[in-house]
Amino acid sequence: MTLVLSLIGIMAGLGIGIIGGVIRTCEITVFKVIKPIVILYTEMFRRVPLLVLLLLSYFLTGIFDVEVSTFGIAAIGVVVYAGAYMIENMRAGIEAIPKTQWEAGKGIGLTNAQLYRYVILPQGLRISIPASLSFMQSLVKDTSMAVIIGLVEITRVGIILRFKEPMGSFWIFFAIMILYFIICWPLQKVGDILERRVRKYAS
Amino acid sequence: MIKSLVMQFDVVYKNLDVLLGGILVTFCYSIIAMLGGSILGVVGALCRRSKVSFLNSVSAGYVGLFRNTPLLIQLYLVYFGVPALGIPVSSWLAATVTLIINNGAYLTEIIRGGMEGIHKNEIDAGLALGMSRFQVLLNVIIPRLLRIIYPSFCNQFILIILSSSLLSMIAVRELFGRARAIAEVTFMAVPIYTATMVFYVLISIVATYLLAVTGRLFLNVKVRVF
Repeated sequence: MTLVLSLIGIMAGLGIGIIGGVIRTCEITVFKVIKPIVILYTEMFRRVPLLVLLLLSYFLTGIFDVEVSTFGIAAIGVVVYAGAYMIENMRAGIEAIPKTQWEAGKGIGLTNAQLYRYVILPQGLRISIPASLSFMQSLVKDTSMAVIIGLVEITRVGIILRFKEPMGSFWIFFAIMILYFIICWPLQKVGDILERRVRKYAS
Repeated sequence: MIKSLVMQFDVVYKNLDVLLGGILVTFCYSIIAMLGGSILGVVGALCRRSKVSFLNSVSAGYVGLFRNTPLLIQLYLVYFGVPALGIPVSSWLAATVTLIINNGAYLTEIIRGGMEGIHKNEIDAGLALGMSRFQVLLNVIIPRLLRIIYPSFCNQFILIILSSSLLSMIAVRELFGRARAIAEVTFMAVPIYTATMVFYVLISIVATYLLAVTGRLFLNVKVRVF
């Protein structure tokens, strides 16, 4: 049950983060007005630990009198964090595309929007996949921080169990470690294989 | 409402010395973790590349275990779990040991990647020039290795600084722990946490800049700052 909660948190953060990253990668060329805001957002929310973001979202939703469940607060924090990282990943992916692609697209007569949709984004997304996957894998582990706002997820269950039975603490947390390992290890293996394949393709 | 919000930031000024002391503690733990992790990382990378299959699989298991589990759970395991087995553990000991072991796993991968990036031809060229094996190590391998590793190394250091905020869950009085304590005592959460956020951004920018400048000066490595 708590596994499902953890996974839903990850998926929501990932999905909205990816969409936000893709939308905001248009900051490279046009939308000069939005560009500084996006740069500010990215730099600020990448250099801050997730814990601080979680606590801030907890208190800010309290200030504005919004009724949000613990899961919602955790989701807000995770989404903001993931969005900032994803924007950087997408930006690195887009900047890795050779300039000739842009020139060729413009030479054919594609508009900017068409250029992005047919030429840049497919290649950019493909290049950014290894970094994005490794970020997703670390996001799975970072959702364990949400216990600070009281979200009932695997780590919190471990803390509760520890109060009930202090003597078995070692095995409780060891079992939780094994659980996280089972969740994360396949993701890491997939990321490794994809990274090797992309490197072989690129060279 | 804006005026009352701005006036609330007084709390930050009153507690500035506490918060700055927290920054110092954060830096201390990060540097110790980086140094210890580097030693473990070198040992681990050597094990991973050795032909002895026992060393290979043991270090692979170590790296896999500590890279695929959250730092928080590792901290809880050492701080809450090990005393339950009968060995008393203080908070700074748990924090230091766990940070070193965790970062050792990540640095093993980084250093191993660096070692695999050194082409065998470079070593052969050094040996062909008449250098002894030790001279090859000193003049060829180590500079190359440091230059390859340096960007990932800097990135890992920034990650350590940011993940040191988790140490507050282990009763370590670093920046985030002190911020939480102040916020809980004064009930002024938003100014304190906003200020903490600004502090972390400043620490991160300063650290990145210093590491980039050091890299360009001493190692001739171009590290991207922004």
